[in-house]
Amino acid sequence: MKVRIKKWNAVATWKWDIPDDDVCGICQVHFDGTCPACKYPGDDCKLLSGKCGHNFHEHCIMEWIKQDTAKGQCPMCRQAFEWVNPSNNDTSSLEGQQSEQDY
Amino acid sequence: MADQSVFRITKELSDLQKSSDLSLAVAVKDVDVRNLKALIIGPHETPYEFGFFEFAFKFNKEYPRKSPSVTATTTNGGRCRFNPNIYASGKVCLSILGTWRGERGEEWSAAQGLESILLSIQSLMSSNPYENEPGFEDANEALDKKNQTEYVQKIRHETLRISVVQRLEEYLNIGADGAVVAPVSNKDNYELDIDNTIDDESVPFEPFKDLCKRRFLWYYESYLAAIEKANTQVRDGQSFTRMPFEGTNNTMEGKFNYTELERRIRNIKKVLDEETEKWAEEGLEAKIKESTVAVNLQRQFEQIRESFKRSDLPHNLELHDNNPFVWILTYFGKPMTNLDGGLFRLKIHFSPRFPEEQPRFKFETRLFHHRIAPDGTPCYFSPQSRQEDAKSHIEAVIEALEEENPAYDPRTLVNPEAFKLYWGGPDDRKMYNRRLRRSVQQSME
Repeated sequence: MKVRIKKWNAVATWKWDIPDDDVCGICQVHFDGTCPACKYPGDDCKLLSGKCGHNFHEHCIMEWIKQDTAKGQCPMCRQAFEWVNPSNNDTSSLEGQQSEQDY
Repeated sequence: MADQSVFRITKELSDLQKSSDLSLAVAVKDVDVRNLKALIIGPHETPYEFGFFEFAFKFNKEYPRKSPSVTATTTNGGRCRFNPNIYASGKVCLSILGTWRGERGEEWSAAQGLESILLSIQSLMSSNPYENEPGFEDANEALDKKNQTEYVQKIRHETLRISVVQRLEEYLNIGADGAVVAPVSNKDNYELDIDNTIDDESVPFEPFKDLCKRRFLWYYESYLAAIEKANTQVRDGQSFTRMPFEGTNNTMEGKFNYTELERRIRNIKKVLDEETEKWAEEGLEAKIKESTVAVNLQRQFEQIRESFKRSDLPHNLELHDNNPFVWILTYFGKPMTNLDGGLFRLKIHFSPRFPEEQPRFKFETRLFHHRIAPDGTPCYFSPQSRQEDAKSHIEAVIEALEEENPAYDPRTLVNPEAFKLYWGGPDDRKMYNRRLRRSVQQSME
């Protein structure tokens, strides 16, 4: 028997490369879900990993860290929050990032 | 975009309501999750023990970036400062709330939340609150020692008077003379549940009424024991000592009167027992009217009875007086345990407002057990998600009874004598077992 495939739909699943059943410490939503502001998980609602080992939705941690009262600290461990840059595995501190944006 | 803060509050709320922490409760009115009420039950071995302390939470749109505002509402109308950090005005001084200068690392963070705030407040309610006051942490002069003792003594008194007695008297409409004042609301109204719930803005939001009543029945003996102990330390008419940190309008003033408190506590118990009895009368009326609750209970009764038969359980269930609101459960002690051979009769009263008001169980057969109060009230927890399911209550009572290696939990202290023996040394435990078995044996006679 010969089968001719006319059309096919590929389906794939993905998950963030972080430990299971972990929730965002700020919105307390599972990382498989989005932050409360977004509709779909994925590139539109990225995760941000801190050097201290704590992960958050990017939107959540940004909302927190932009406040003066946050003093640039991780909400979980209160160390200075520096994130691990996913593209070049470089680390950058927030201050650096923000001043770049200023200019 | 829906309000982000609402998602998180809703989640925290349902997590807390699902948890089995017996000393915390939270509730919101309808859909308004931004205004929340919380109840903290005073911790064991502190002057706040088994008191009912209520707090009002307000969450703004910036939550969790900003902390909520928290106000203590158990303050005797703004007249009582229960703790160096819990003011008469209701202000709660806590560094994570930003109402107190905190050390570095103690301020609010987005990772904090409802539960961590409640636990922080609970930790203020310590066995020696005097040292909560800044500058008094290590105060150990003779005068401080004396103050510490006297502070604990007056907190104990006011915890019983304000957080327990006043609250329960209000719930039960008990007047100054100890008699029950007839409620103003029309009694025939409760059938019209639907109409009732719609425009009841005038009715104050009291989500912890039934909880506090049930807990009062658990802790009744502990309250009496506390009074007995206090009577050896202070005398009636003696004035409270003012603490050096207590100022004008932010203090705890008054006189001891444990004789009066004991009378009022015993009266509350009597009125509560009468209330339970009254459910039976109301129930018979509801049965004639074929109210939804009556029909529901009748059906649940028949199903549970059937399920006992089907699963070969020896327990028996009957209606008392053919009333679907009063059940009689005969429980047969589990073989190969201390309860083996025992035969116990329990009366289960249901409220015409079930499941809003939860059933009240009472052992009619006397049983010496650390989870059964001397008046026969068992201390059990049924999952909050299944409270409309009568069977889950029965199963939870049996589980509490048969539990072989319970974790130490002073919040289950409903029978001070049995609890002390159960958790004492090996000799005490032996004594406990002996007395339990003796009461099991007596149950067969």
